[in-house]
Amino acid sequence: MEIADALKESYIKGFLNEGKRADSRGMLEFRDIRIKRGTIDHAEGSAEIELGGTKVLAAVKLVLESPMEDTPDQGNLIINAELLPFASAEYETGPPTPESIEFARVVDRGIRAGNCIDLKSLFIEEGKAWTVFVDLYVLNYDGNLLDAGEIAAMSALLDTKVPKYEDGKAIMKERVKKLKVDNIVASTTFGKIDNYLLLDMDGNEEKVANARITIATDGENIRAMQKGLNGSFDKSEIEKLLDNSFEHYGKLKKIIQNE
Amino acid sequence: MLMIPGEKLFDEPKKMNGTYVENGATYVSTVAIFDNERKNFAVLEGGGMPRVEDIVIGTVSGSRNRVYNIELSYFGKGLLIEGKYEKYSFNEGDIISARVKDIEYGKTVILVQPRTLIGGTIINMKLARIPRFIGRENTMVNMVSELTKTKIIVGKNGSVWVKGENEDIVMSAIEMVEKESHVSGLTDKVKEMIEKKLMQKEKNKV
Amino acid sequence: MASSLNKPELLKNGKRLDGRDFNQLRNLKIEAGVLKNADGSAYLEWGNNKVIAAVFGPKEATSKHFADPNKAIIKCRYAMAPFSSLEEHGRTGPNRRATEISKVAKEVFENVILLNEFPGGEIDIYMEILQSDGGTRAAGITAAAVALANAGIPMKDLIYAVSAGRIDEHIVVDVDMLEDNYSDADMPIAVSPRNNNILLLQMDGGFTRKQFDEAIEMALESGKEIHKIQKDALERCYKNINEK
Repeated sequence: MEIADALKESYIKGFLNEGKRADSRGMLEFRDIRIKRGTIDHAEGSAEIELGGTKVLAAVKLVLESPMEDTPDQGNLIINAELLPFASAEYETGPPTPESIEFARVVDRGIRAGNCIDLKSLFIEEGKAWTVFVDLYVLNYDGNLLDAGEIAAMSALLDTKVPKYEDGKAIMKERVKKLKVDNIVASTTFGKIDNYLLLDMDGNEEKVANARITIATDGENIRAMQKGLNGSFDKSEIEKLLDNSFEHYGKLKKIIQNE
Repeated sequence: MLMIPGEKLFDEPKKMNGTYVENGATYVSTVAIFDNERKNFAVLEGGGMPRVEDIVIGTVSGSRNRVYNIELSYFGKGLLIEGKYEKYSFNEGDIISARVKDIEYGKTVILVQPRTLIGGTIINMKLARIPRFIGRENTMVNMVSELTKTKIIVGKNGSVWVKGENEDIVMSAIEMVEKESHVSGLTDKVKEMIEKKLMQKEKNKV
Repeated sequence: MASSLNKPELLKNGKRLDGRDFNQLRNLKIEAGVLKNADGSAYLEWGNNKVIAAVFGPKEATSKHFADPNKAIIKCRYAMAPFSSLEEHGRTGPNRRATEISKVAKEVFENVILLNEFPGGEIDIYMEILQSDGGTRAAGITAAAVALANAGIPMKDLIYAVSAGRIDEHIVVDVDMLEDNYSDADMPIAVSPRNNNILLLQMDGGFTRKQFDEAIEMALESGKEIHKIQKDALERCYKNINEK
């Protein structure tokens, strides 16, 4: 195991020292993004993303619940993630790991901070509101779960139709209108290997990276950021990555909206 | 004056306990007192891997082909290698003190100048408190040794060898240092405690 | 996020509700070496936050499965006591938020501690929030850094953490709980002051580029004061040894 990792490291750094990446991509270039929508018809909305070898399925279920005590006029948004044990040789069955918890919370942060779903629009009448559950199912890991998850979640929300509400009950078989999505947030995750800055690391690159930073924007504002791994960034590196994140927004938004 | 991790000590690389080198300069890594006049750098807390020239104490755990394996509490294995002029005859279970000659691959400790320690007791203390037990310029450990009339050898790997009539009192002293390392006037407090216990012992003899 | 139904005014006469200027820190007090059994410890009060940090180690790694023959491993636990909040009684045991904070805090310490000095070893870091009023992860990390120094764990630097935020169009530093609940952006960071390297950064809300810039600068500036208070705590702890 140790030897294999060391070989991986020299393999990847060999390319970087020549200004290249193993799969011939540019340093700040995404892999191809493919999205299939509506694949799970039991779910009110769904989208499956392929980002290189990374495959994430996002499914949305709407549940009729009473609003929370301190927010009586709105519904809820809850985002969960599961790293399925078959998605990678290194994943195991068991309770949520810190990685999977961080993944869900960071995806949630960008979408919530961007006010993508107007929680007030989920309110039906006193004591009744929709809770929007978004479950991120990682089917295959090949790096950059954070962006794959966020883009899949946004696409699934755009695919979501709200069930009919009648006489105090939800009629799940009948879906009557699209979920109101007010904003599109797009996520870009960068990594640092030695002093090289890369966008959308694949599985091998992630093993070798010493620092990582996720930046989620809506084109005008930075909505969420999360630095990860035990390396560091200085302010000028972060500024450069913020620039690049905003540059990518337009294209990512089109992909999410299926244009 | 007190120096804390991250502060620059010298503009050139030096190998010292409690410091690290980066980009050709030496920086503090553990809390220490730097005496600017006497250029004396004394680490107040902490110990890491023993450095070359440090004394360590361990147990002989086996030998093969003229290489003795020494179990060093905390740091795993040390190796004692018989050379052209050095022939040893240790048995499994012997306790020895030795000097660190080299550290290979950052973790295997090569030892020389072994001495068998006969009798006595080994006390394993908290690595971080060793500097405190030794004291500035050995003040604390010398005081304990003289008052209790025991031989004390402090291994930088956390093992302390004690031999004499009052090994139990030395143990109490070590415990006090571990628990109250930040208390002011600690050396005096320990001295007081030792003197009290010695008097108790005298009384009980009568 | 709290309902906007009851969003209170967070500013009054150009100052914050507790009378602070935008770039002003709450009162910060730190005491090192407060627990006898821990190898290092610190007690910290920051505004109404009360935090205890404890460090054990270096010691032999407890689990052979996770031990690394080349360097020490770090176990890090951030937890909030069930009595820490004014408004409610919480449950013991880590929740998802605490798990995430433990993870990102661990990554900070993995950066600054000289792990290579303890092959096969382990260092345990505990941050216990006894009373919470916003900015608890910054308080925990700032206290843990002092506890690590008190334990003699060799580090590259004495790091600190602080949060910056935005209230309407104003950038503020050291966000308290009320501000955190209703602010328009919140960003905790942890910094190694030697080079101003950023070891932890989380953000949510909304920042324009310019606002982000201002927030980082304000946080780095306030860090100088935090670092001084940390050093003072260590100086007081070892003052008497100094005098010998």
